[in-house]
Amino acid sequence: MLVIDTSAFISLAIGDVLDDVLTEYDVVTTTLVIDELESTAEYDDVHGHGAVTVLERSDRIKILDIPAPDLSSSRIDAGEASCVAAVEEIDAAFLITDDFRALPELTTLVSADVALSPILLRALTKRGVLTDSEARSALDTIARDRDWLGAPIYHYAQRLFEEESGT
Amino acid sequence: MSTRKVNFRLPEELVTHADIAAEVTHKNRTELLIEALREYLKEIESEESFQEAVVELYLADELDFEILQDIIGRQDAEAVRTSKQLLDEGDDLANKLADL
Repeated sequence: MLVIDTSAFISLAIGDVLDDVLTEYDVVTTTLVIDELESTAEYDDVHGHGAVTVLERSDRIKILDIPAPDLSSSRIDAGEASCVAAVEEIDAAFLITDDFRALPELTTLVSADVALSPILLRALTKRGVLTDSEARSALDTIARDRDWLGAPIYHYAQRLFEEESGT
Repeated sequence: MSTRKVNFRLPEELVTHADIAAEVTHKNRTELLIEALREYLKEIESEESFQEAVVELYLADELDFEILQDIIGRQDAEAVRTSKQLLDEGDDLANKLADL
C-alpha cells in the first residue's frame, strides 16, 4: 500500500499518470488530504485542475479518517502530518510526497520509505506500464508547473530515466 | 571577516563616477565597491531564476552544500539535499516499489 499526500497526487494528475498508479497500487490517503484537494480544486489553474482530477477518482482511493498528530513543525502541514499517521496505522510500505520543503522532516518521521513522484514513475516503467519516454514527458509536464525549487529537482529526476535508456 | 586581494580592470568612466561617489559619501573606493557589489549580489541572489540555477549547480555536484545554504537559506537547501539523496537512491527505491 502507498500513502500519497496532496502534493504528489497533484503531480501525478498533472503528469496524467494517476490512473496508472491507481490501477497498479492500493492507494491510501486521509480525509485531511481530501480537504486540501477540495480547497485547491477551487482555483482555476493547473493545480486546481489536477486536484479536480484526483477528487473525481476518489472512489478508487482508500480514505482514512485519521487526525493529524502535532508534529510541531512549520514545514509539515496537517495533510502531511495525517499521512505520517496513516503510514504507521496501516503499516504502508511507502509515503509518496512531492513537498520538497517538508521532505527532510518527513524522512525522519516515518519508518516506511519516502519517495518522490518521479521514483513512482520509475517504478511504473519497471513494471512496463509506462515507457521511459512517457515517464520523461510526464516529468517535463510536472516540472513546468512547479515553483523555482521544484523545477530543478524534477529536471534532476530525469536522470532516473536517461541512465537506463542511454540518452 | 577575512579579505582577499583581487585584481581587475574597470572602465575609466566607472572609476571616475565611483571616486566622486566615494568622496561625496566619505568612503574610500574599496568600501564603495564592496557596498555596491554586496547590494548587487543581494538583489540578484533573491531572484528565483538565480536561485534555480544555483540549485542546478548543486545537483550537478558543482557547488558545495555550505554555499547552497548561504544563497538559498538553510531550510530550502536541506530540501534540495534530501531530494537529491532520494533521487540518487531512486533506482533502488523504484525497484522496491515495482515489486510491491
